[in-house]
Amino acid sequence: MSNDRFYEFEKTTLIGKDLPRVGSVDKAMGRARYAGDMVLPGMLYGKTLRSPHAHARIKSIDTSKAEKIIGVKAVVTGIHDTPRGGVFGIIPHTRDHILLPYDKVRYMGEEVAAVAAVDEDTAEEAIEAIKVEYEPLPFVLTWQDAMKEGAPLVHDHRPQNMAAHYLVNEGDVDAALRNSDYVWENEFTCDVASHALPEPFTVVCDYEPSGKFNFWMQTQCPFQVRQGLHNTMKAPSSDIRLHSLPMGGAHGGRSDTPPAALIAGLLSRKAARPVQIKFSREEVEDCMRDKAAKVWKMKVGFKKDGTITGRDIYMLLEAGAYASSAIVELWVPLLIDEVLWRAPNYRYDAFLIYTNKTISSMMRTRAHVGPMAMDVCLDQVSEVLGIDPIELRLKNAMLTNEITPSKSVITSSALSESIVMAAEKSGYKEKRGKLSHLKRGIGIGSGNMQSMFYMGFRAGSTAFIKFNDDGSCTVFTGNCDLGQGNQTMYKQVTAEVLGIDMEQVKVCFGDTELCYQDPGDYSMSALVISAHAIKKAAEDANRRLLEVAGDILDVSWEEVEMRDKKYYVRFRLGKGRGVSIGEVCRTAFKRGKPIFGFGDYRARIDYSDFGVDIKEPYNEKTYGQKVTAYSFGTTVVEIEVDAETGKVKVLDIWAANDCGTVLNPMLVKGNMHGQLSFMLGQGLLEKNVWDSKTGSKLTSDFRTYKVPTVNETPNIECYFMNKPDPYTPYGAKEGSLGFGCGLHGALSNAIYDAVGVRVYDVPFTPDSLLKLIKEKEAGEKKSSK
Amino acid sequence: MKQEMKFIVNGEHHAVQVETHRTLLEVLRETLGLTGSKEMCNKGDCGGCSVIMDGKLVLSCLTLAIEAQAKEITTIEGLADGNVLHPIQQAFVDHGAIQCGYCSPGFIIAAKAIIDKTPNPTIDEIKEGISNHVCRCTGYVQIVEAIDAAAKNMGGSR
Repeated sequence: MSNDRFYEFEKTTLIGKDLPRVGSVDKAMGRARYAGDMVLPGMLYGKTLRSPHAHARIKSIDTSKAEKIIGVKAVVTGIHDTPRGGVFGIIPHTRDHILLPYDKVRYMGEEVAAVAAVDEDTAEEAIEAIKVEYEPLPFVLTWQDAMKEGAPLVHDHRPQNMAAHYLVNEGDVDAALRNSDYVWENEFTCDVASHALPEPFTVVCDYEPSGKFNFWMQTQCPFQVRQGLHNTMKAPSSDIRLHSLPMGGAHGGRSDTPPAALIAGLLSRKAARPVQIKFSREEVEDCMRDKAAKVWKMKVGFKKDGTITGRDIYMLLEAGAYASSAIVELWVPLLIDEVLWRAPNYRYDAFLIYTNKTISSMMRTRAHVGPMAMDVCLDQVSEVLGIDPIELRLKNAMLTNEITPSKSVITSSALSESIVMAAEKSGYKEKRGKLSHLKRGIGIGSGNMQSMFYMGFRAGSTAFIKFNDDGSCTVFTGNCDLGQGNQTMYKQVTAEVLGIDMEQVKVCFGDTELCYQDPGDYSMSALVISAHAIKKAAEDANRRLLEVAGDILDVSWEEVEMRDKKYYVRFRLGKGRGVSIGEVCRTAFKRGKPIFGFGDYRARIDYSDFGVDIKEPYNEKTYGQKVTAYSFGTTVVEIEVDAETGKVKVLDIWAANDCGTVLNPMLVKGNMHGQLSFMLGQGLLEKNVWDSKTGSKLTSDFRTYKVPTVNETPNIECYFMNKPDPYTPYGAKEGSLGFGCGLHGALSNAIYDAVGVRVYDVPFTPDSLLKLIKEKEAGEKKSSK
Repeated sequence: MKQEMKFIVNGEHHAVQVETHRTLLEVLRETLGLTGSKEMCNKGDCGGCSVIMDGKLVLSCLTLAIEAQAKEITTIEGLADGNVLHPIQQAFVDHGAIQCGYCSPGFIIAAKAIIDKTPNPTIDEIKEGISNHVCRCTGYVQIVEAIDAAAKNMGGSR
């Protein structure tokens, strides 16, 4: 491990440079090919028949009329075509999802049957000709109803609709709270949010008669999707190839195995032709993934001096119809929450609940309720105990090398520095409490994010680099590029190690046939896992290059050094004979030993050098190192509230980001703007509504589900803490999510500063805030009488 | 029912048979193979399918193809000179204004319409010109910077 601590911070030439995103030119020209732009010879168009009930038993399906329509080439149903025993779930004990069901449908819009035809109109006509007999069942749309005694069961084998439970209990929380000078207690909620992805989900499947399924579809986790298809298709992994493509947004919503992929595979095999399924906007919003609704109840004990003595958390999470990757959302809030604020006694008791709604999955910023609850808690307690809010934060902020309650080591934290930076730059101390006459307010919030969490053998990446005879090379990685700049980072790291131009590096990513297993762009693994493997592969190749260059120059490889893209003998740098990388590659080919590089990086789990004596996380006590690196950060926000309407206008944001070394400031800033925009949307605008009588989602487009536009964009100032992490490539950490997880807490605190009411339920919509303002005014009138 | 229509797309004359219920977006993408214009919402809420028709910015998903009869259309594919980017496209690349890139053609075409109409737009005019466009990645800051820089680079020219 000692090698990992060494980062060549000073000597780098590409690290820390503003580099444009790779792939931007094609995208700017409209030449990038997305899944929906793919047309294959003889391609058919698939359409899906979806459940009109939120919960029903499928009694029979008659497809005979549909099959007779001219132009219809294949019809599939769960009863006839779903391979039996193939159940999707991302961990064994949550395998609950038959992707094309034959027994029950569990939310409105679930897949029931599908058709492939020569054009979309014919496919739609055929869908309407399929007759399904349902036995409608009572349904549950909220966690409150789902947990009631005698509630309808979404899954018969899960009493009280409980999908999973997760508990961490360290120290004696009850005693700590009993013995505290002050105990703060409150409840927070956040509503179901949507990814609202720009590019409608599209899958093209071309089944080869040899038994191989070729897929072109948007996914951020090709190997996890392949695993899901392997389990549900009952086909060997090598017969399932996912080709890589650019994709129009992901944000966590493209990590699971989509039912439409299985369906496209079944249709293509049956029709013996390629099949495309493209979702409508309504299908995207109703039938893909949402972010789970969450309830967060918390007690926090304090000493008089502001030191936290213990924290007790009870969390409910709404899975929707299937556990899917919402099971990960059950764990992740812990990864975030236990890392921000020190608590010697700590309990995290979390439950995942099924409802008859759109399936939940991961989403960037998913864990924001926990940070928000603590931001509001610290704001309130600072008033109660008469301690400066910044001092109270600094007293409890977790520091580098501290160990969390569930025994994860924080290898770098600039949380405290980020609090000081954001407060100073914004003038927080001068402004707080002084703007309310203008209905303006200022608020602070801190957040963090895990980079990668431990996933067993999937927590590693293997990279490979091959070289051409001119010295240019191609990197192979199983991770992908969602548009945030991963390809740029992979090229940057490779070129940095090899001392060559980025243009000489190409990246082949996310192709399950060409690349090795990789976790995918999931849980911020692209940097700390995949780029780490690529860096090791480049170092491996570099050693081979130096050896051959040494042979040519007649010295040992240790005496060779590169300058201006050529290899020289070290003591004659820039003078004498210089050997190009192309010459080295050609020499290696001649010798029958072509240059290549191989690198593997596994999430580190042994932290015994920090005194943590646990070798395997997620053991029965759920203790141990779960995360490779944590990013931190703090945002201060200044807002104005329209007291007539309850509308919050965000004026300025000061964002202090502890993302370690900043690999590429221009790209990281762009990702920070995006994160703040996403968080503002979720915090103030975005709200989903279901019809309680039918279970139908009413917010299925951009008109009803309001995402931020340029009009809602405030002034944003970004600051970097520049504190490298000792164990990540060049000391960099996840750069776009962690700092922004404090935004909702900052907003809630700013609203209080502006108008004197506390908001605990996300989103803070105008009507909900107006109601609280009116209540407060009525209370003031009453008390003045 | 099919109808013959003639129109000019990116300077090229086209005569095509189209079904009268087809949208301009469908005909551009499926008949002419110009897949740069993107379908996001297909109901006029997002700006992803924007094209310029006779000098005016239109949503091609809400425009019937036959409405383009005898009109001149500019799509994202019509901006670059071969492989040399238009100054607006170059500014989007240089300012990091493109992430997943799916909404970018709509924004770039809208920027072209803004600058065509107002060669030296103010920041507020830029914001107004892209206010009906949705982006989920960038948070809009670098997009506004790119359009501002492009207008300045073009020196008030079209």
